Amino acid sequence: MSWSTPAQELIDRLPADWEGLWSLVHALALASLNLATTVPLAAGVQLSYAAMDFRDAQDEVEWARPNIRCSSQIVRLGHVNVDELEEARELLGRLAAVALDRAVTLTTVEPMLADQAALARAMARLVTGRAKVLGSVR
Amino acid sequence: MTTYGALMAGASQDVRNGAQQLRAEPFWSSTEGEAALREYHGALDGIASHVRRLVWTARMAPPEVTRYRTDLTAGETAARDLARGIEALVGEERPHPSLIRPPSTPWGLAAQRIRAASDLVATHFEPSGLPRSPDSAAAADPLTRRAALVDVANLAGAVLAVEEPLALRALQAGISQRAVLVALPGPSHLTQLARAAAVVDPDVLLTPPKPLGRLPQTTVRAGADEPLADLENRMLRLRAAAWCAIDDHRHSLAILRDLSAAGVAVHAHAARFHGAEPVADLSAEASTRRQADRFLTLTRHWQQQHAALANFLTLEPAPIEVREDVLATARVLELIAPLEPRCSAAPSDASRDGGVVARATGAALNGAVEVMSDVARYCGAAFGHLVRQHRLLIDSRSAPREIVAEDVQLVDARLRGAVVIAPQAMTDAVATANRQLEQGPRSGRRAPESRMEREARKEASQEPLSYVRAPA
Repeated sequence: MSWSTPAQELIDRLPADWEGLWSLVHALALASLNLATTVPLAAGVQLSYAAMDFRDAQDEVEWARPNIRCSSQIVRLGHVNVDELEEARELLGRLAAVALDRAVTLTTVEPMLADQAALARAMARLVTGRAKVLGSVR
Repeated sequence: MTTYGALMAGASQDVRNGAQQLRAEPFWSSTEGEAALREYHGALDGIASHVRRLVWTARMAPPEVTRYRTDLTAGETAARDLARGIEALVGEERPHPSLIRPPSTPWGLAAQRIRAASDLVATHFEPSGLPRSPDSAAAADPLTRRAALVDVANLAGAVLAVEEPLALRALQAGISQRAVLVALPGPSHLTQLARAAAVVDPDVLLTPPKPLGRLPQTTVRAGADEPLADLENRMLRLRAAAWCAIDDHRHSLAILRDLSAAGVAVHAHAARFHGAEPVADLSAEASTRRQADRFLTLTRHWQQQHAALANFLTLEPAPIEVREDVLATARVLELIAPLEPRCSAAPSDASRDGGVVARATGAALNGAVEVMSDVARYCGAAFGHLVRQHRLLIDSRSAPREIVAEDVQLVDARLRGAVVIAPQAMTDAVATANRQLEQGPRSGRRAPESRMEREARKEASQEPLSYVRAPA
């Protein structure tokens, strides 16, 4: 699957901090949008909704850390073929689960309630976005 | 010794535990899900009571008079409105139903700690408001109180953030959709009020969203029973949101993004209803003679617009009502014109009523498509404003390579990873795509006008023409 290598690099190499979380959710949002415009109608609409959620999670991280773009890596998963739809969805679900784990870890170490609230909002969007990617909610 | 800070920190930990539980595992039964919903409401009710206690402490008056006070600061007003909104959701029954049984979820434990913190504050004052303990002065200090309100508002934001995952788990546990919608109606103005109350500097409080004026308000029950009417209401509200976005520079980009998602949903479901296959290949060579094919093409254009708008930095969230309407529109569309056929024991309305319902559904969908053309026009005007005022920013690393290659300053910015004003080539592409969306499905014989189309035309004639500007 064409996304496997860059996705594994995302998981293995990015730090477990705010910058790493931003890079993960940014890659999720971008990949979901790309996938939505590539695949047939029924899957594409649901993926558009998921992309909305992932982008919300990205925005929450950016608003909590306004300069985070300057210090974070942008990772693109690249092109995907239509016949790789199911593998792509599974992979996006896995990335969303990793992002959730990272966000949970951050909530345990962040002392400020404002940051915890932002992470809670980002986590909620990751949960609903992941469910839409995997097709378990409409 | 238990302190106020320890109680609130414990409540915050309980909220995190609740969120983690929702993420990690489903409810084992509908009984467990109902208990979670009940105790979630209990946590919100505890927050509302705590807010009232803090605001009462701020302005000494009998607690039952707090809601009528007019001398509160902007932050205290937002906090009071948050408390009112929560009580409208969870009810004012006393004791709250969640208190009758011992807590069984982290939400119940959080509610206990929040109420204990509220009682702790109350012990320092007489019922009349006079100081009762040596620590009363510290509890009544304005800065201390304001900090406590900000913390409670952030806690409320964290609790409200998990409403959607909780609703998802409740549906998975077998609780009826209607019961879930009543208990958890979706992202609401409460989230925005929590944000407003959590702002540390009262001088920069978020502006409350503009009211939608004479447009119909929606309720969960009306929406659940009359999906076509709900769709019409939601489309009119989305159209009004696009109209308001023209002058709302702070929120317009986020609104445009949300509305583009609505455009995807409306055209996709309309295409499906008119006979497009759910696995249709959206190739560029698709015939435009059939209405369904035209809707499919527009679906793809709205998706591309959604992706293009995602390149720009969003500095503030969209008003929560817009997101709520977009999500509700998607739910209603899935109900009346599902993208994939569902197996159901009950006979379809279309077969039972001899196609009457199908014609009404078709008219409603066609009307929604027409309204989206108006939405596209207003979105184009709003986007043009943002371009002229240089409010569109991008991460230079997101700019397409062919655009970067032609701009030396952009190359330098990309090497530094800087945020820059969006280059004209990118904004022109979005504006051009938007002009295609404004045309809508203008081909062949026009579909019969629905009530919503007539309402939309009446709205257009009542809106001041001086606000309409040509798209960029």
